[in-house]
Amino acid sequence: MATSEKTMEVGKERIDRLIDTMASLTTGEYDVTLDVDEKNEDEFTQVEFSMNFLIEQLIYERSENENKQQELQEKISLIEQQKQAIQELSTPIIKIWDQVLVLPLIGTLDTRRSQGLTENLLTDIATSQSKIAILDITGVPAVDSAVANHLLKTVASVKLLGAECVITGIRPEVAQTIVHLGVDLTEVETLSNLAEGLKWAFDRLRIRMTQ
Amino acid sequence: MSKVQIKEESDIVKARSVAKEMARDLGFGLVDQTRISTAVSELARNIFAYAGEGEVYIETDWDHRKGIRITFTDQGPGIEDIDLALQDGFSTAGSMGKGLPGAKRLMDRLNIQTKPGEGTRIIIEKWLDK
Repeated sequence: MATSEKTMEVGKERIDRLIDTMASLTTGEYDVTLDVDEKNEDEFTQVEFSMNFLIEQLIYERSENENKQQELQEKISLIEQQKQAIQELSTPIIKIWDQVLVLPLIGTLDTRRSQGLTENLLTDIATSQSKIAILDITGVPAVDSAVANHLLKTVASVKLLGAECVITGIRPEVAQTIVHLGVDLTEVETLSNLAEGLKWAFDRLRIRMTQ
Repeated sequence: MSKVQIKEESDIVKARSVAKEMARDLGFGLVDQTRISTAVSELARNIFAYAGEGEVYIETDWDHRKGIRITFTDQGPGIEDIDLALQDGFSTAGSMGKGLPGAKRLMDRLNIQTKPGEGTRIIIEKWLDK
């Protein structure tokens, strides 16, 4: 390949300006542009134009990046907020009948949630003079020993208040797992579903349903 | 392959969900999925309760076996007496003492490597090709 014989003279000042510009770019300083003498255009002018174009591109990319980063930050904080909201979803205690309370437990029970739940239940039983509490765990996907322990403690404290507790809605797979874990729930009244629990409650309170 | 860092209580739930999802994708039925996720819950809770922090590593392909293998690693106080720790009702944390023996019953294999003062590594496995 034949190399071009063509050479051209470029003033040192122009080269220095180019180097200065590149130096500021590398430090992240994009607020620069090369003055281009469009009247006396030569081949080096192309280089200067390209440099200005590159700077514009960099500025554009940087602002795009900043936007995306902000978007990402907003999403992260939204996830945090939702996490908080889910954690704070307190379990409602429903007075379903005179002296009968129902707690539909949904999702994961961690220590904090279980404790809050027990406290609320005990307070509600005391203030509403309830005799029966139905803990429905249909919506709890897994019962490990910590959760089982909490359920047992809740049941025991309810008993101390002179009320009775029944656990309903243990899923078949959860039942098998509890047995394998070696957790003994035989001391606790358990029934297949909420409807059975309600019948049991009516029975205990000697309420007769007629159709 | 999946890795979950255990640092706070909510990480236990994370580890459990990841393991359950991987078990389901591999073809485990609902009962086994629940067994696996419960065992993960017990052992991840042990990390949180005894060591404060650690790591759960879940893999579904090793040694040409089809199944799930979960490794729990921490730099906690270690286990003084493994036989005692595997007994039902034994706990140094005031819990039910069902975690280790329960996890062993729920899985096909449980292996403990521990050194008092240095940490614990527990490997559990559940196989599809028994």
